[in-house]
Amino acid sequence: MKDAKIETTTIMKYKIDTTMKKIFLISAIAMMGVASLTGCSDFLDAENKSQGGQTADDYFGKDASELRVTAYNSIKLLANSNNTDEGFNTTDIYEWGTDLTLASRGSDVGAFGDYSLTSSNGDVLKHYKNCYAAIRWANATLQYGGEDSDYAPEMKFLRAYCYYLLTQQFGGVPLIKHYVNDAERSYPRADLKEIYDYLIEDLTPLVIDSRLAVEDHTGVVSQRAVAALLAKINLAAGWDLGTTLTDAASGTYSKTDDTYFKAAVSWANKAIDMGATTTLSMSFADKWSPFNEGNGEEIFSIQYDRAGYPGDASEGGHSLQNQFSSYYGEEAATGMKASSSMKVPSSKVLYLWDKEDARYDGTFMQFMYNAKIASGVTAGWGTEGYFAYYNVSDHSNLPIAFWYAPSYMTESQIDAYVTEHKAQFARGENINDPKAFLMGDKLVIWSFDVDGNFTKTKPNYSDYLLNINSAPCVRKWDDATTTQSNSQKNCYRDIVLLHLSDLYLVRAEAKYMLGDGTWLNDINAVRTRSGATSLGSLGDYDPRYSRSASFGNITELDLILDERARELYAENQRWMDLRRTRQLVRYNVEFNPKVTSIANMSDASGNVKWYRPIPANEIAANTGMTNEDQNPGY
Amino acid sequence: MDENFQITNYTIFYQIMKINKITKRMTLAIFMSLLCMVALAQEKMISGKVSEASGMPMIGVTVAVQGTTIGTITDVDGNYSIKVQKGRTLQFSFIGFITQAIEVDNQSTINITLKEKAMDLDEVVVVGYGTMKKTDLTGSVGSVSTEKLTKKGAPSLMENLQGAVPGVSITQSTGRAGGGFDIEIRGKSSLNSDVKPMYVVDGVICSDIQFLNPQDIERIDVLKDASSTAIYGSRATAGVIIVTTKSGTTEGSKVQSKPSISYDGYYGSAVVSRMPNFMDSQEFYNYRFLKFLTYSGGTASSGNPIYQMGSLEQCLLYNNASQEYRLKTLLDEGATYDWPDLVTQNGKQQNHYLSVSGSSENVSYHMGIGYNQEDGIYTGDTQDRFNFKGSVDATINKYVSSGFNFNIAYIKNEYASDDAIQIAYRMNPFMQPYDANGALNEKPGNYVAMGSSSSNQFSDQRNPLLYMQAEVNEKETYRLLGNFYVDIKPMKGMSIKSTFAPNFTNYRTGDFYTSVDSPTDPNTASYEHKRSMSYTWDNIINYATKFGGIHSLNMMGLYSLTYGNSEYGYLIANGVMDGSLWYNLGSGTMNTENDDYDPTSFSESSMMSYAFRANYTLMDKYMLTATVRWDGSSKFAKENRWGSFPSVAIAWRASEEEWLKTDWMSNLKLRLSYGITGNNAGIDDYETQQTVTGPISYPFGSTYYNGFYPSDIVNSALSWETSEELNLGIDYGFINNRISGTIDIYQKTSKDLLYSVDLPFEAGGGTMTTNIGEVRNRGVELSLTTVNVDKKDLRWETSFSFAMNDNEIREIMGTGEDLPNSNLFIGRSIHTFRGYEWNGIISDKDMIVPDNEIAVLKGLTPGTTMKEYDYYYTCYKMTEGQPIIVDRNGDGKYTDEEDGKYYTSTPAWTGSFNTILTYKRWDLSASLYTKQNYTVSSYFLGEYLNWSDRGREKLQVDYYIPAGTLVDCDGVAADGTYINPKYQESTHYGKYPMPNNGGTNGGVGTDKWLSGTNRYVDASYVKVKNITLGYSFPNSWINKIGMQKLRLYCTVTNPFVFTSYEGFDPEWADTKLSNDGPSTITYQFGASIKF
Repeated sequence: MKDAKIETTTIMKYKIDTTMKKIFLISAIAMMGVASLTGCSDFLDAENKSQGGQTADDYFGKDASELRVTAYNSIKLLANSNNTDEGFNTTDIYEWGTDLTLASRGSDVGAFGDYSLTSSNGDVLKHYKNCYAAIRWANATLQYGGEDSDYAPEMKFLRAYCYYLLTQQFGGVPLIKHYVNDAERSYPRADLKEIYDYLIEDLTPLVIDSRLAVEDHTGVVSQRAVAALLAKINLAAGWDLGTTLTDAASGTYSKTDDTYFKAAVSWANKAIDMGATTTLSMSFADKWSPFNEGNGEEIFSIQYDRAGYPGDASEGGHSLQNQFSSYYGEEAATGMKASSSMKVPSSKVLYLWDKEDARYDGTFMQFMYNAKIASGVTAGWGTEGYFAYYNVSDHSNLPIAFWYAPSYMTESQIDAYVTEHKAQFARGENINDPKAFLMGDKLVIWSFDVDGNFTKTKPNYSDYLLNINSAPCVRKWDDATTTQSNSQKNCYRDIVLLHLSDLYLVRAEAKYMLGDGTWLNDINAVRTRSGATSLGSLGDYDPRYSRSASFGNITELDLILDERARELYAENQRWMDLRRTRQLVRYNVEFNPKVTSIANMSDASGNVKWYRPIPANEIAANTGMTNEDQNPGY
Repeated sequence: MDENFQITNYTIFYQIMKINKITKRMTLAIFMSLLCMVALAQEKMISGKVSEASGMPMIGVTVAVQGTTIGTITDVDGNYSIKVQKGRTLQFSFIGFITQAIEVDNQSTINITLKEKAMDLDEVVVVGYGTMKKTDLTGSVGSVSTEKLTKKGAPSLMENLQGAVPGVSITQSTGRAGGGFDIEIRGKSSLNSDVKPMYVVDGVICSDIQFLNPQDIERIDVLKDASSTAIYGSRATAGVIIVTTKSGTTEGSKVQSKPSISYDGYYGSAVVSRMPNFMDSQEFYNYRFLKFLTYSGGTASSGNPIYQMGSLEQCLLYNNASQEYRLKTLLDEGATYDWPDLVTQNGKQQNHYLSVSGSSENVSYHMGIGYNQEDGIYTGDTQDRFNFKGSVDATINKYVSSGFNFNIAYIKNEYASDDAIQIAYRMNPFMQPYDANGALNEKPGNYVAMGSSSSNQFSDQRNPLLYMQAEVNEKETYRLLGNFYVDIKPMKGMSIKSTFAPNFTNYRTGDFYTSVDSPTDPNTASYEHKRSMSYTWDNIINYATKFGGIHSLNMMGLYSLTYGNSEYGYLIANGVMDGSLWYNLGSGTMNTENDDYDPTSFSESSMMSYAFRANYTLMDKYMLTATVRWDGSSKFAKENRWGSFPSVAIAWRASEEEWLKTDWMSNLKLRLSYGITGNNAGIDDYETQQTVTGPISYPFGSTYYNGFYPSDIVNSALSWETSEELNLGIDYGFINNRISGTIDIYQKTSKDLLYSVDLPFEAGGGTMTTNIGEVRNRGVELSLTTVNVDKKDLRWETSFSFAMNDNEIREIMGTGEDLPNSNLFIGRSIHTFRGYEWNGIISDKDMIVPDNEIAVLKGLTPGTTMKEYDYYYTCYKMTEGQPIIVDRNGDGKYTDEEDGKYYTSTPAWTGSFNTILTYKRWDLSASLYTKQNYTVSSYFLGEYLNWSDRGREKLQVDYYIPAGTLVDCDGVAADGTYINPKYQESTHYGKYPMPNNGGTNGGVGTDKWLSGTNRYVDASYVKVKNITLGYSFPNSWINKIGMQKLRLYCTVTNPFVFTSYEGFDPEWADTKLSNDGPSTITYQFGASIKF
């Protein structure tokens, strides 16, 4: 029995042992299996399904045409804001700190207006960055598509346009001719001459490149656009490389070289002559009519199109129509367009146009109409209020909300007009308190009661600009098809970057610099198209804007700049014009209320801020630049 | 490393396996669990009574036969009876009491008196992939038990954790219900803001723990030093928080017990409190009047210019028809409103948790259901959370045990409109919320609502109450967290455990709003959906052995796989049907223009790891722990995939040395550790691959074309961040552990920090993630717990904790240069910002001209006396009443580098204090938390001290008014003179700038004040977090109704805050306006019941 028991125990023990071994074995095998099955390196390869497993190289290596669209699209941020993270009101950098544009209600001209920019200014940074972003996409398209691709010439034009903008604002900048897609962080500044010469060399063959159409009005780069850009680049190069500043405060200089000015004239000739429309025959108003985009005078423009926009149309446009105007009250309840109260005309601007000149009325909307409201909203949006100007054919009986009368009218002429049109100025049941303004330093405001009887006040012009309704809007950017919305990304006007009358003025400036007496012909061509008097000589020109003795006599250059102001007002060129022609200090001291002396535009050591600061971020990130490379004055 | 494990024979099989990795692995695990075996045993009857030292019978004491699974628990009178073999040992245990063991001889009755533990030295601490006795611990681990966690009564786990472990800094980041928390362990070790501690819930790695019900938490262990965290390798740098939820084994006992049912719950009300001092109607009137003063003549011609009223009509909202100044009328009529009161309400909160647990011979179980509900102080901010919990642990036989644990949460958040909250406090007291019929005014500040003429109004801002009605924003989240394990013990001391832990999150966000701005097609709705799934499969082999009587060795090996993927979808449409929420987007037009529009996406990542740990103890006095982990991650390029993370630690229990043993010292242990950990958070799954981005669309003429472009430049050399940490710690206990605590000092150097370097704009101006930066954290953590009184009826315990962390950036971009735009400065804390310094107001008092560059340049003579306003006008064109911004080098210009001051928003130290007083059956506890000496940049102050606007509500502060300033009048006569003017008689020397509209920047003169200095404030605070009073009913009463425990309590949360911060709450002083809101005091009443 005892033995048997022992035996049983042994057997049991054996069984247990066997089972234990089995478990051990199974677990060991399981663990090994686990380790080996999943030990494959594939386990650590994550697949990017939303890219179809492709990288950017794979994708664009096959077809770069979508990159081309990106390159065109990236130019948008250089001309306007649509308030994206990357964007800002580019009109700030182009228009503030000049003789033409003041701040309005709720805004401050800030660092651009009073020349207190620092290298940490976010808007300067954005502008610099946006230019290089566009250059990078142009370079990327060139690299992936190749030099032989159909769109290579277009990309070279876009790249050159960006460098043109960069050189005008920053001087010599790093010149990048290839698509940067590596970790390289050193890009030293290039010499200004190197850049201009490179651009000219790069663009010249494109003027006869058959891959480009002779001209195009759908936003595609054309041979004519290349020639026009060459004219502008050469003009800038003429000033920057062919003249030497004598005195910043008086804007005096001496000329040292004619080469680039000569080239500017010949490229302007070429650009003017090569299109179907070579003369300024269309009226100024027609040229800038919202219903006449892509007309013969347009040479290159950034494209916007409301009808085909794939997303929410109130968010896909730009904000230029909102920029050059005063705030007129809440749009839905006043019938006015959305406006940012950002940029209003200086007193000087208002005195630029004479009575004969159709360009005051062509530039500013003199009459803004009134609207009725129901439940807090205008019932007749588009046919009442602001846009009635465009969308109602007979204006004679429309109730008027604001009249921005031209400065050449007298107070009594206006008295007579508003008395005669009393019914139109009667408030009645309309929403806006009707007003009439005699604009400029001699500001007079007429206020009307319900029946159209008026009272007058004469506040200070610059104070009054801080109020709503205080300044007229600029028609150049009006999008008459804007539907009721408070969105400031709702303007679908194409942004014209190059056009015919600008080229006339470019040619006039270049000829003047060459001492070519025919320069005034080009000025007169621009003037007479709009009814302004033809000038026989500088002596015929006596502008009405007030100026101090220290400003000195009106010069030929002043005439050219004034004409540019009249013809190109609000086209985002003014600051660059003043810098190029070396009049930046002289004009700011005289006309910019934020600048009283050259000291305001200089650092403590007297270095004048002729350029914008290279952004601090760029100096920090770019190991090829140090603070030594910063522009003077910063 | 990975290549070594590739076995080619398995390649084909592997391909099949990869198709469905999870199910295949599950099958294997289930197969293993099916293995079964059987076991047996016989006995005599013992009975007796268990009581406390006071003689009170103890209920529920576990009486177990050692070495078996046989056991029972004592009844309501403390009696038990159990069958047991002679020679066996009976063990009596109860939480909080010293376990006693009695060998059974011939007795038939064993009566026992259990002693309470003063300090639990047998406490087990959860470390990565296992547990350790606290006495054997070599690293720095802070532990929080369920009692401590739930006592504070906050609805969120994180708020309860605040102040519980020194070195763990938790900050509530918003004033909204269900809001987030920022957590940092031992300071910030990365330049990357995404880096958060790693959470491990029952072995599952989670992104957060907010979804858990606080009552379901068994314990929380915080691994702080690198020797503790290194076992988690590449994700552990920011510290590891291990959460153990209640389970069958912790709640049911190892022995047979009857099911017990527990209920814990409270109901509370959150009362809006400590509202900032906003301007009332008269104060706002005064402010607005000044805000319409301009310099006479348009410009200031001296340092104390004369002011004139710019436009009284616009200022006081003149009505041309009735010829009245509306603000005067409204002020007289008292028709003004307390807007903060209109937009806030008292919040509510409740929490209920019901659980059942028990065990039979081989199976223990725990089930729970929880409900937590919170209504915020903004109408529409609510959170509902349901938790379902199940846990079963089964001993299948002597060799195999198995079990599972799952936690399901359903969370529904509704959010009040962000717009409404941002706007609500901006409404000034004159703005009219309702029209004459009591309906909401669309624009409470425009001329219609104000009854003024159209050009005289505050603003066209829409009514925040309309925004509140107009938006429905809801988020529904489902979370499932579980694990399933098989544990095999093939031989003594060895266990092989395979755990498969899935983690599933699914959320849907729906947003519907009716635009108050755009009357056509007003309804916009969006629908967002994300599904994330991941699993971790851990295979652990453990071997523990003792030899030679003095050596104890414990080894652990780990092989682990982690895989996760997520799918995302987002749709947004305009003009959807009224009231259809986000359930009928088809009724509108899809909006594809939104910049963030990302309709669908997919992401996956995986990680493979091996780890090894050895713990060696010599004579229970000397301990050594060594660990190493290898991680391979799919986020990196093939050649940079693998990293290794070793650590080593030693400890010495000095108090066990004969020559050191004294009566008064109960515990003294020294610990020293060193380890390397990694961090890969903040790296996207595909960060090392350049992707295609887009589309954008651009028209040529009227035809739109799509454009795509490459993403930012990528860095294929990307790898982990690594941190090296050295920790020295002391655990001490004196006088029978009545005084106890820990001291830790550490230095953690984090290198190869992931940082997005700004690329030069020539390279696209994007960013590229690189391993460059270096940060060092050094600090001290102290904790001290004392039992001050320990009498029969009265016990009083207090604990203090203190932590100081010094954070220093050592390198950012590899160039030795600062990155001022990102507020990163070498040699300073990560939480630093640079700004100008505001030093008072330019007054009409005399001053001595300083000897500086600008004074000399302007022709002043240093040392002479002149009026402050003359000096500042001459040198800076600033006028009386404007702020003085410090020009450090006196050159008359402001440059960031030369004149900026460095402000740090990391507190110099944090501390907490807890006290528990028990008297008989009453308990009273309180805790306090403090952060000291740090500066924030407050959005709140930026907004409510923004003197540049004049229509929005402002904070009432003491501002400067120069003598002779026009402060009120009844009108302007035709000749321009004022009717009944009132002038400031003598200068009022206020602390803040004079509101006006004369100077630049809205009258303040310098943009430095508006853009910065007005919002830099010290936000140090001391918060009494909670006070709780509880009463536990005597057993003799509650037993009659079948209860084992009944405790009722009331808690007041955040009753007192001491701070100089003038905004809502110092804790979220730097939050954005849409997340901001007043602090609250919460009153709760709760019960804990056990049957």
